[in-house]
Amino acid sequence: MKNKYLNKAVILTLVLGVSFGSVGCNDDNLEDVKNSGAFDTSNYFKNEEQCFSALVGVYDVLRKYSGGFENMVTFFNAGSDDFYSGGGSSTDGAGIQGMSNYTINSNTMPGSYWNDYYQGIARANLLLEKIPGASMDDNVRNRFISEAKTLRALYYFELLRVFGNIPLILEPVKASDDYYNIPQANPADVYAQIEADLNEAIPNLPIMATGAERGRITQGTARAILGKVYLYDKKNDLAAAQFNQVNGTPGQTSQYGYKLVSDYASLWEVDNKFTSESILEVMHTNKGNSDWGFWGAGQDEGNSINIMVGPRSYSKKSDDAPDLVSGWAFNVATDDLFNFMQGDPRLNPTILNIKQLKADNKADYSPAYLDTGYFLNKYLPTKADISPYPGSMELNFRQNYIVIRLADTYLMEAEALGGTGSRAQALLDAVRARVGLSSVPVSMQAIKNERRRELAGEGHRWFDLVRWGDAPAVLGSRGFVAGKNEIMPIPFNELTNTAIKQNPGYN
Amino acid sequence: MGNDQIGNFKFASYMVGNSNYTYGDNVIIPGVRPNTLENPDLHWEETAQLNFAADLKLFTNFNLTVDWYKKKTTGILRPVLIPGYVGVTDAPVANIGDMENRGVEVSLGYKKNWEDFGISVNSNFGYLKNEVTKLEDGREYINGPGFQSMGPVSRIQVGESYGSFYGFLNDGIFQNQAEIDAYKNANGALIIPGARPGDFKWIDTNGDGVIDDKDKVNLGNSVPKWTYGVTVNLNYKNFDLMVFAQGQAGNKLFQGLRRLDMLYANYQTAILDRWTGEGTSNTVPILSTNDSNGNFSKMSNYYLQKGDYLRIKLLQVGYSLPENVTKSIGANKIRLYVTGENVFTFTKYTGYDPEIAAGDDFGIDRAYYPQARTFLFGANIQF
Repeated sequence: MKNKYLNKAVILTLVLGVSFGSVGCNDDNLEDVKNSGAFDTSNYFKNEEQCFSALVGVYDVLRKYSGGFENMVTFFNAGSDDFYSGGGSSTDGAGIQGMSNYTINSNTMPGSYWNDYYQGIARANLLLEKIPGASMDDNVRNRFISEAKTLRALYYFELLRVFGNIPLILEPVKASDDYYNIPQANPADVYAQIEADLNEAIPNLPIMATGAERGRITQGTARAILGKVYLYDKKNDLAAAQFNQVNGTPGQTSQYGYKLVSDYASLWEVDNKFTSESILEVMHTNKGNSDWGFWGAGQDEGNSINIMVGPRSYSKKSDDAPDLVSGWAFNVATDDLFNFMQGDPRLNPTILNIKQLKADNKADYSPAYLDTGYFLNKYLPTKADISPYPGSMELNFRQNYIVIRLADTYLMEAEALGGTGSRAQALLDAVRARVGLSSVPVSMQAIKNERRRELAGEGHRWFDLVRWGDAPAVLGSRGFVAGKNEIMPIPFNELTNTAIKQNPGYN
Repeated sequence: MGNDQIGNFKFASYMVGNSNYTYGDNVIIPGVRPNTLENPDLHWEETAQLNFAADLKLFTNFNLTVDWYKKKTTGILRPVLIPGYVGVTDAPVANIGDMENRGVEVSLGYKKNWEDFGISVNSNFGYLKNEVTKLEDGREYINGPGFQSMGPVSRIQVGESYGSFYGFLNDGIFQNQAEIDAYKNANGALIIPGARPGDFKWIDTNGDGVIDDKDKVNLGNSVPKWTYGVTVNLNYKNFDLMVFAQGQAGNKLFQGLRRLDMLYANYQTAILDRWTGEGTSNTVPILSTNDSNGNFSKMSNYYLQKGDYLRIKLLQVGYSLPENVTKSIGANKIRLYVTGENVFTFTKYTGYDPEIAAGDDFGIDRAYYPQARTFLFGANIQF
């Protein structure tokens, strides 16, 4: 029955087709469409105004110290013997948790610690390449060049002391470059470049910056950075010479106008910005209306340390307790630091013992991960600091972060002097005298102890321990492995299809 | 696959804003930065297609179309992940390579009417094989997107399907210390020294005696191999019924409903069947605050599930009122109907919605909002 129907019922059509095509209008390159409303990189940098906007883009990356969840201060505090990661749980921030217990690897290492600094460097490279062609006053041009070189040097220094083995790129990368095959440079060569950039920059920088220019790089800033770089590069004589110019006579006002402030605790008063002790300071404001969508990105102007270190579910129960904003409980201080600072006048400005406030029924909070009850008072957010402007409450705190201050350069000079001699003694004494402490005999150990107390929680301790070679002994119980954890693992993305080699001990 | 949706002016590098900074007077100064690398060589994706099709009409009531095709795409346009040291914020777009799609599409229809009863069925069925044939600069693979702190979870790799999942493979769970101690390499050293009972036993796929990124293997394909759909229309006297169903098979989905960074974030109930002692589970590892083996933090086959599904997309039942009733109220036709959309889904996938998840280029289900199941009651009245 089927066969009978088949002959007349089957109509068979065969179609053979071949077609070629491209998505879009024709085979031409996409470049043939012109965009007339925007500046591409080749027709920008025409005048001072444009060059300044590009320079601001280089400064933008300074925010990395204290802005965004992945900021330098909380991350490296977490790896030191003074603080734990803290946070909501053992998985609250894979990077900062891995830093705290030394399980960090190339996947959990936040890529931004690498990428953000390289973005700052790329912006500086572009400005340095283009600015000679701009029509502008030569003095201004030379100042911009010096600021860009100082910032490039600073960003390379941070990359170097965090990652150790990094590519050294000094010109804008072009699409035609073989940019997948840029090798890591010898750290000595990176140090040499950083030092050269700073030495070139210093003569053309202003002695001081006042008013609306506060926060811009000055001679004093660049010298302090250079001294610090020399110290890490183990060129102690050169370091001491730079610090000497920055510091002047201990306790007196230096040639750049630097002087220790009399009230230690006032350094962390939110509206006490750019004091005489401030050498390199990151400006934060609540006017950026920061929100979650661009948190940590270029238009985020808030300080993120504040909300991160606040206690969880805090409530004030007595007038004796501060009116804090509840935060996320990162960077809780260790018992070790709390005990170490007993009897020191800097204890209370540094650590707020909320465990005690709770025991005395003056305040309440929820203990979170690795809670000790000791919170980082230098940056605790208060209700009075809440921004009145739009944006997220958590992300618009406006406390500045001081990257380098005079007490730090006093102690670095004393260290560069080998911890001996009358000048080292005078520097150490000045730091102690400011908080009402009497003199102790200067020595490397005395300087180390002083740095730990004076600068606690400001993000320096981990780098200090590594520089002194003390990290394996002090941090071994936290999981620090000598010969490995002195530098961080290179983020995974950098290893893919590139010539980058992972740092020893990490995979 | 491949696309023309890459945005405008991707060949150039522009100075873009929002790189601001503030100085001492507390005024935000707008700063600029280069957004990406310029790419003057960028060109459109090109395709060349070969089709072989046959239309058959059988027994007057059947229709069959078979279409075999082979489509070559040259110069796939995609944003590329470039090294961070290049220093730009936006990934540049580039022509990254070539691929080939080969497949068959079959559609079969049947239609017949009797006095009171009519039926029509249309079905289609597709098979697709996708293969990346070349990557620029002789690269072996390009990383696809990542998932939370895991790093990249898929790759575009020569010889494999576009966006194949890559990760570690586990060979079940260590049930006891003896199994951990017995898992040794050629030198007699433990392959996973820090493992505890209840942890995944990662396979040392390259046999070098350690577990590292080199042990990541292709874990499956995010592009569905099979897609199908069927529409059935039935009418009997004044009643009519329409059913439209569709589905796919042969793809994997990354079930990424949970936030890995929040230890106490809720789990799905499948976690109740986790390993709690010898012999309790060979698929769900131990739950612990210290996941040093990376049971949950490593990309592995644990996160992948079959994306197969069959979904009743549309179901409609209608009833037309008899003509004498219709006319009596002055209308030409009155039809009452009930429609259900996304009425039912047959799937073993445990995420919210296998169809939405498969809409992701790389099959990574980042807890996309599922499609709603809706019911509509309506009336068509014609005057």
